[in-house]
Amino acid sequence: MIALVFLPVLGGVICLVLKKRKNVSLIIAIVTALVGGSVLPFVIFDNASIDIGNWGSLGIGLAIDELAIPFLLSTFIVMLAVILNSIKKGYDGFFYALILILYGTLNSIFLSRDLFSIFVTVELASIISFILVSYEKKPRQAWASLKYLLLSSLGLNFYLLGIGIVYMETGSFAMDSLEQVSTIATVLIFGGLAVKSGLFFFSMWLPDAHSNAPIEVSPILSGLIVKLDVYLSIRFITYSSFGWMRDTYMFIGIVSAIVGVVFAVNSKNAKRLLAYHTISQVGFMLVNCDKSSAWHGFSHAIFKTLLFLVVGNISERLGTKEYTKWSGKITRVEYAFLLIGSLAIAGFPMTSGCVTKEIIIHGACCPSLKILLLIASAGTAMSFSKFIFLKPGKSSSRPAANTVAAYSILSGVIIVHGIIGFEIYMFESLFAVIAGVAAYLLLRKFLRPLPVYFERIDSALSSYLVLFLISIVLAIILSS
Amino acid sequence: MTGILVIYFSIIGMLVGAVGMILSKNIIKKILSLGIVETSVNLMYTGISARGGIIPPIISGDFSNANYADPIPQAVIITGIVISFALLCLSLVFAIIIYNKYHTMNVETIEMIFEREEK
Repeated sequence: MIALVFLPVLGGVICLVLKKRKNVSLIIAIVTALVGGSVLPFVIFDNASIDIGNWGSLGIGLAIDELAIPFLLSTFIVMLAVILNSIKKGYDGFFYALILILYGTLNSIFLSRDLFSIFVTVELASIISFILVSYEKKPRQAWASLKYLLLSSLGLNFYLLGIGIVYMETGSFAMDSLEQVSTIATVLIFGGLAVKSGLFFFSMWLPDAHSNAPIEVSPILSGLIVKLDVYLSIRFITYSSFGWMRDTYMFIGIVSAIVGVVFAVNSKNAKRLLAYHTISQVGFMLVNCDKSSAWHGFSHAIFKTLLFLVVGNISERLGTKEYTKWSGKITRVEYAFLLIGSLAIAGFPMTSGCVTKEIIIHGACCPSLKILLLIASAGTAMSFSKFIFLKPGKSSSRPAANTVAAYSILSGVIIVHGIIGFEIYMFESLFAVIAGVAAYLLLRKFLRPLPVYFERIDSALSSYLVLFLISIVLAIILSS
Repeated sequence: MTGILVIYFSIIGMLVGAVGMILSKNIIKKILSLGIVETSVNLMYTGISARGGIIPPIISGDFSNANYADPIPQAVIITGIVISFALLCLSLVFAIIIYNKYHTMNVETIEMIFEREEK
């Protein structure tokens, strides 16, 4: 189990030492990612738990269970696809070092059972993602990264305060001590991590950072960094002190799912559209916080990586992020993969998006919630009709072999997952897709980009703090 | 008693820092307010390590009447101090990149420039 954390970090350190030699560090990155993936089956079927150091309960606990498995799998697949896509782009050893250390850090978060260890690893993952967002050193990226840094480190300070209260009450940082802590500690932990979650109003740094990041970094941000809070929420909600959070998440999740879709439908920038969909899909995941949301996190990581890579490569080749200018200029191969990704996120039957999203919609507690989720699902199909109705041109340029390899791995996972998990009632989801496409054809003349008021740094900070205060009041009311 | 007082002071410091982050328009002042929040959290960990009446985790013996400083929060917060130092350095680097291009530290001006560029 330690190998899953240790080997990628070791590979990253070797890349950092050899950072002038681009080819060597690329080979080390690919080998390390593959070795990390081949260790994975031994860890998953082992079901062990260990305490590092001979300190008993004071040591840092590592354990694995069924909640962590989807996240570990998605980390491996996303990292492999990203490294394959980055071949021949001229990245140096420093980039691969950051990617590999991030890989080890993410594995460590998904295995850890210690609250302070989670704080350190989440901060390390955040610092690496700040550097990766501004990797090309453009001022636009530096601003997006600075906004992300200010919000995220403010939130994590609240988390640190929360675990301080947990220590004061129980005398231990182990996660098992969360069984009996006061409500104020739980609300500080929830609010502190919510800033990284990608929920609407809580983390409005997200569209800016995800849409301005380099091609290889956006999939990591959207597929993995956002999943940290989803994973930790699913983990924490199993403890009895967090019982009040289930209703809160249902409410925040559905609001986020619908508002994210409204912004995405009106967007004209393809990468911004995908970033708003991250907000919406995180809302879907948190509506019912259990094992089904963990698997939706897995499928979301895979298809969002595919979409971000295809859209990033197209917009780099054509020099524009506006999808209306792409029509007739993209090749057939790119269109095919764009179609697979769009159908998967819209929930078309036989894709992984359908399987996991339908389980969430059918598991919803009351009929009104189910209808709202179906509306959000139709809105997703509506905004991705923009990609479905693009016309592939007869351009003769062949895409690079490594890019196609990365796309094929991801699409293979999407289709295999969709066929394995398919059940007959999932044909119902076809209606939501058809309704969304029809709505797009009716309304496409009226779609205009919405104002970015909420994404300005002052309004992002104040909406986060206001929502935080509201959730403190709500928690005290709900738990008493 | 002193421990409880320190904890209240640190929570007030966090609120002051958070309000300062919202109200100031200068990037450097926003970063300094973040520094105030981080220092307040570090102060709070000093407060919770003041203990009495339970057994310290390292040494065995009768400590039921003694007041002592719990070593674990202190060991833990050193890591927190290092992390907040790294974050402040990184944010100042981003501020320098932005200043070199646009020659301003005012948040509203910078956002206006970026929104105009996108159109």
